[in-house]
Formats: sequence, structure tokens, C-alpha cells
Amino acid sequence: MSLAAKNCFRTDGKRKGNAKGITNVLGAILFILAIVALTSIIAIVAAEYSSYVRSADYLSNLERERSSESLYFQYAAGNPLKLNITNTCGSSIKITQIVVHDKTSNSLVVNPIASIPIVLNPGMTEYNYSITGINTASSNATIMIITSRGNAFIIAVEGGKVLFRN
Amino acid sequence: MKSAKRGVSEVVATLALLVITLAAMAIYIQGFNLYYSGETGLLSGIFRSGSEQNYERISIVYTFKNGTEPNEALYVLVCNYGARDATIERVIIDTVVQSYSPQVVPVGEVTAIRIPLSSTFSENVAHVISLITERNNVISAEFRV
Repeated sequence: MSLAAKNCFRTDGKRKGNAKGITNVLGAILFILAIVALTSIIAIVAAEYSSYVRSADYLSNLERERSSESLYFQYAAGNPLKLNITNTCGSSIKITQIVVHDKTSNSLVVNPIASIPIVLNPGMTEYNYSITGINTASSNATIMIITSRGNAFIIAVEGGKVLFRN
Repeated sequence: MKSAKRGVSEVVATLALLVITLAAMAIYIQGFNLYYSGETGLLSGIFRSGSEQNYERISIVYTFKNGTEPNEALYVLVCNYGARDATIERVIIDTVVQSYSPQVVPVGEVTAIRIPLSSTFSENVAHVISLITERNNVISAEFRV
């Protein structure tokens, strides 16, 4: 074989090999980029979706417990107003706030009592719970007993009577 | 000679490929995460704002009217029983948007919000109040004055 012919073969061979290598590299890069793009999108959306599912679970549990909350009130004494409060639902109730709307002066008092929060387990009764500043005989007020789950139990004191919605 | 040259070039090509790919992946993933860490992304933004909405829970506890015209105002007791501080941005009473500056109700707190009344409220008639929060939750309640 002549020298020229040999060179010709080598040149052809080299060209062929280089062309193949570049195509493979480019293909691999494009493939990896496509995979990375897809997995990034899937991973981020999946993470956000799982956090959304957790929040929906939190919401449904909270609302279920909230709708089942119930307290039973009994009048115990009149000056100051004292109540027996019983938890009649299946889960613990935490009384976090007490708000009094004095209708005579049209003023609002938030948390007039120091002894809160009160936790009442199912079936438990808090006896002689005193609401200071309320005299049944003379007061004209609305008392709101607010729980940690956002429920408000309203007690009306009017004309010497204490009205509950048991 | 020929085969040795070929071997070296393959190793170099593989290494170059790896370096380029890793660098591209790092830049791409970082950029992607940065872009989607805000709430601008479409799908992730929808899920994120939805979960934030779920964590924000407020309830209307009590309403009463106080003051005399022209300083008459409606006071609304709002309880935040959720896991996020809630900002009340708009107040609508009987389909009328009231003039009101946004107010934050912290988690676990009961806050009285004051809504100046622009028009006289008919008494002993049921009215509907709607509070719209920053996260687009709407809480409505019926009341009488």
C-alpha cells in the first residue's frame, strides 16, 4: 500500500472516530440536562405537594376537633359570678381567653381573670370558677369563654339572670 | 502508540464530560431552586399558597357597636386559632367594602378590630360581615346591632 493511501485511511478513520465521540458527548449532556430538569421539577413540586397535604391534614383534624368541642355550664354563685364548667366532649379543651362585654358602660375587658389557661380533660369539671367583676344581680354583660380551637361559649348576664346555651 | 493516544483522549473526554455535566447540574439546580423558593412558580406556588391558607384560621367571636355618630364604630372580636399570624386586609359589610386599615391578629390571640361605620346601621336586622385576609381566606358571620 502506498503512503498516500495509508494517510487517506488514517484521515478517514480519525474523522469518523472524532465525529462519533462528539455526538456521544453532546447526546449525553443533553440527556443528563433533560433528566436533571425533569427530576428537579418533579422533586420541587412533590415537596410542595407533600407540605400541602400535611397542611390539609392539620386543617381537617383541627376543624373536626373544633366542631366536637362542648362545655356544660352550671350556675354556682352570684357575687362574684361563679360557674361550674364541665367538658362534655371526647377531647381536652383549653380555655385560653375570657372576654367580658360590659353592656352598661359598653366596654370590653379581655382576660379579667388571672387563672387561665384552664385545661379540662374529657368529663372533667372546674368547680366554682369565678369571673371577677360580674355581679349577677346588678351586671348587664356578655361573657365569652374562648378555647384554643377558636370556639366561643357565650354567657349572658342580664336582669339578675345568667343565661347559658348548654 | 495509536491505542495509547485513543485511551488518553477517552479518559479526558469522560472527565471533561463529568465536569461539564456536574457544573451544569449545579448551576441549573441552584437557579431552579432560587426561582421556585419564591411564590412565583406556578405549580409549587399554588401548593404553597394553599398550605399557607390552610394554616391560617380565624373566627369571628363577637360584634358590637359603640360610639355615637359621626364616631360610630363596629367592634369585631377575632380569634386566631391557626398556626400563622393573620392579617385582615378588607372588611365587607352587606356587600359594602368598609374603610379599614389592615390589622394583624397574632396566633392564639383574640383581637378587637374597629371598623368605622360610614352609614347608619339599621338595628335588629341581620347583617353579614366578611373579613378577607392577606392569604385570601374569607370568614363571614351574621350579626345584629
